Amino acid sequence: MKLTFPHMGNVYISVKALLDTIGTDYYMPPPWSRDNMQRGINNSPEFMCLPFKKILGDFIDGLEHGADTILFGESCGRCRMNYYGDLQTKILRDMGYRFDYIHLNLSSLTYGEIMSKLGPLFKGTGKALAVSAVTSAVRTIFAVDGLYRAACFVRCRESVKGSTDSIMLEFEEQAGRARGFAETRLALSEARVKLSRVATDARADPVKIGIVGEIFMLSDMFSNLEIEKKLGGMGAFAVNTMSVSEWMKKHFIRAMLPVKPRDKAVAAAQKYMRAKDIGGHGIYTVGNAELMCRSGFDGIIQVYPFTCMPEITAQPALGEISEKNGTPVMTLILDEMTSETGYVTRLEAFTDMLKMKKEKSSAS
Amino acid sequence: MGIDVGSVSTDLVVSNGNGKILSKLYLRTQGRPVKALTDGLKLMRRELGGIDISGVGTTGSGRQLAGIITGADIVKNEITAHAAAAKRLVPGVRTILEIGGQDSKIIFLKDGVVTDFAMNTVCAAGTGSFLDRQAERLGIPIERFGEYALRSKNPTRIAGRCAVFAESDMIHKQQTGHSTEDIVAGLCRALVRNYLNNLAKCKEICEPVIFQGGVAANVGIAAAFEEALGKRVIIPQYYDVMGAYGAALIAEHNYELSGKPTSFYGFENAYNTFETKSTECNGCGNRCEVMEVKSRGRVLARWGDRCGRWSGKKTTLPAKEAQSRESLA
Repeated sequence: MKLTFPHMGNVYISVKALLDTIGTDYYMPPPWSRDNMQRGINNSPEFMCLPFKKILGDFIDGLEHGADTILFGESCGRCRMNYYGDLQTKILRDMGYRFDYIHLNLSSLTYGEIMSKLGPLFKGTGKALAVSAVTSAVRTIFAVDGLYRAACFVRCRESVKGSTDSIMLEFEEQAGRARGFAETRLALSEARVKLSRVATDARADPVKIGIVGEIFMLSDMFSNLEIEKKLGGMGAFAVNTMSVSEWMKKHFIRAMLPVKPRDKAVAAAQKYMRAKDIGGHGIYTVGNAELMCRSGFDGIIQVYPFTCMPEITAQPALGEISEKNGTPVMTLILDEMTSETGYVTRLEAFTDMLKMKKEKSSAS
Repeated sequence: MGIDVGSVSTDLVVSNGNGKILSKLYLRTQGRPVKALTDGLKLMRRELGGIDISGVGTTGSGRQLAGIITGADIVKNEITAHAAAAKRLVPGVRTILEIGGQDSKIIFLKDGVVTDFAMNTVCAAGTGSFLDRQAERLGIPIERFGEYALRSKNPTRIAGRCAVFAESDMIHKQQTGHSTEDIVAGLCRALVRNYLNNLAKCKEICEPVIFQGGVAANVGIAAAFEEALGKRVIIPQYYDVMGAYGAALIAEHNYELSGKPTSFYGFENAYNTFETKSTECNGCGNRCEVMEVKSRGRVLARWGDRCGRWSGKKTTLPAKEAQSRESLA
């Protein structure tokens, strides 16, 4: 058996360590590949959303490299994500590929689900080792996201432009070479130390921008054209509300708790949307935007793939949130793009505007 | 000096320390930004002679390239530049309507600070190039488009949501015998409706409202805006070069703050030849398109690579050498 899996931001670091630990043979598509994106676009329905196309491209790349099993997780939120797997397998089978498809149902993700679905992978692995490997994988997801968050904090304050970016590039290379959890953890801790040593401007008071929107686009730096890095480079502190670890908290960890805590974001969204769910993560877009406006963020940016229904539903509420709190909100819709000029123009203009506003209010 | 390298026009403005424009140029980019820019610099030099430039700012979609070629002190986005210019010419301005060749913008200000903006680049129906095309179809020179619109007594209704719908709508109306004047006026209204729906959404438009960008020359559009908004629309004196003027003001501000001498290579540098090249890097599957600007066999800058493999290697044109070209030019 040879496994392949698609990319979603930095999750590969953890998945790769898991597969190396349990000794599964696999092929991982390159994390940054316009080639794969193009493959996905060529074989997808034209009006599909970008994440679908990117994931399909990764599948094709994997199957071309001899994989016979696809591992994919999807949730059953009210959006097209519901039939990603069905449609993708149909497209791939029509293209003539033969493969097994392991489908993790992410909306009811438990140890039981993981163990039963991943059973074939764990063949020959003791149950105790399998459980501990899954636990390490979850921990690694959190640690990696933590590192990226720390990078956002440092990047906008660094004295020498680009020092954070080079540390993160080095980390990505090192984590790419790492085999198993020990080496991955080493890469993580080295990067953390390097980040803590970056010379920063103590007087820096960067504008704080909250990023809300569709989860795939927000956690996948390839798809969001490295929004965190771009904003940081412009001297803005970007706080990304959507990441795989946030998602794990909501679905995996919360599901294990005997008493479910009230979700603050969903509660905050009720003022604008009287619903617990508007599909995808739309309700979190609304709720998190409201929460961040209340806690003094300078601006909010919503990012979603062209044609994303839940985010389109959420968008009008953002206008109201912006008006009520006096916090500027900008929406960026992404699709396959090879030129970043327009995107950078908007980010820069938005950051400039927030900076001028901040200067003005601190002067008066 | 401010330089705005847009997709349709390349504008240059030289202003003195008081924000007064000494000379302005409006050139067609015609898909060759480097040529338009160097032509502009040569013309500017001929016009102003040995003027001393204390700072250069660039803006527009070609701002990065223009910054590299001229050795600009500051490279700024169009929103900030347009707002800076509008604030200077119409103090207290609250709303800026801007329609250029390939995009359109709306900028809201309060107490001299930008509070909100929106940009449209995906919809052709809300831009100047749409009018250009329709003017051509109707056989009217674009400069006279506005006066045709004003002559109309009964503007035709034309769908403005999408350029494709608008065009087929317009052709059908033409075939049923509507007069050219009425169709032209209808198009102006359709464009304004598209603009307000796409960009202004339901945001409040406060006065003073100013209208700038190349399309502001079109009196028909200005009249349609006044009608739709029920407000007076001011067209500033330098409406067609506001981006470049804003860039010049930003460069001036930057000079006052830093006090550093300019890194401008001089007008003479425009007589050098510049080559731009895009290469697809084969380092990995991402295949970044790496841009390279070369002058006389030397690389001025490279960008577009994610990993920094190419962009790290850059050399700048030494200022002295650039000046020694003067005798040859």
